[in-house]
Amino acid sequence: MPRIKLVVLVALATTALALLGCNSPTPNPSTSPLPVPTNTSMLAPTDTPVSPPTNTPTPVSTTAPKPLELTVLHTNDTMGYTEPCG
Amino acid sequence: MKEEREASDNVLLLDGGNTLLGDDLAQQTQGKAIVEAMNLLGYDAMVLGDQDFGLGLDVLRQRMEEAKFSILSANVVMAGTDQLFATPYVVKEIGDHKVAIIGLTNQEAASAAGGGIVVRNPLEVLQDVMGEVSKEADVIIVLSHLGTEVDFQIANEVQGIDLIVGGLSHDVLDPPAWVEASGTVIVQAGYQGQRIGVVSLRIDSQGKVVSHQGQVVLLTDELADDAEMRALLDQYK
Repeated sequence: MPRIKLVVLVALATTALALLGCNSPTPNPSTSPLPVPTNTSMLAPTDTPVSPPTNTPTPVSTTAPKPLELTVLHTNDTMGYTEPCG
Repeated sequence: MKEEREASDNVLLLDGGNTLLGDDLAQQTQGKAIVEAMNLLGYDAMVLGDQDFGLGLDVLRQRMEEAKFSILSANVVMAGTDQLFATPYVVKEIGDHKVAIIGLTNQEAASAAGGGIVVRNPLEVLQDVMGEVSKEADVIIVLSHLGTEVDFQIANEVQGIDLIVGGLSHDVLDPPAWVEASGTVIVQAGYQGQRIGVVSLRIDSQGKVVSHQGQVVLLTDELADDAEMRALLDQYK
């Protein structure tokens, strides 16, 4: 009978500890800044689930800048002259 | 200018300085009429030359606020400080490319301003600015109010400049000069509004100028007045 009582007491104590653990006060919030999540995925935007890695290469845009024909019109030392005087 | 703009989407209109003061209208309006005319023409950028500082710093600042285009100088600082008087450079997106335009002012600007500014060594400043600008742009233009001789020195000593639009020495470079060692094209179009320069740069996908072609066009009375410009200038008569 004392043995059974002891077992029951141990069981109650364990339950109490477990319950205390669940209801224990939340620790004070840390004052250190939260790490900013970094989107390291180059394949998916943040609001869509990240696909598991596959062996299929994802096409990456390799379009080179297009050549440019640039025209530069230039003046200098006009000294406020506003009438054609050439 | 209108013809060139109609012929191409990729046109820059630039000025090599000493622009806001000189002729009667410019003097009477302290450069205000000139800035308005340049706004109407759609200038993209100019560099400050020594004569522009003849307006005095306060009036010049006022003109810079009125300008709808960039007024540049990378080597003029307020005396006793490191504070730049003007924007050092501007970067424009043209097609798939980023084109930087840097301004350099001549030493005489300090005395023309009557004090208050210091003009730093343009070559030293340019070396510093190039390090920064070359990370932001793949085509680099220098607006130099330093004279043709210094422009050649820059082209020979500083790598990575595609075009120098010059001023101060009143030279007519027709056709444009080209420095083989650096691949830099140098242009200048005389003085007193007698001429306008036109240079076409063919730029490859890497931002390298692979060919160029240019000329300087004499502006004569035979060119018809632009009605809008005439109306603007007539306001001041």
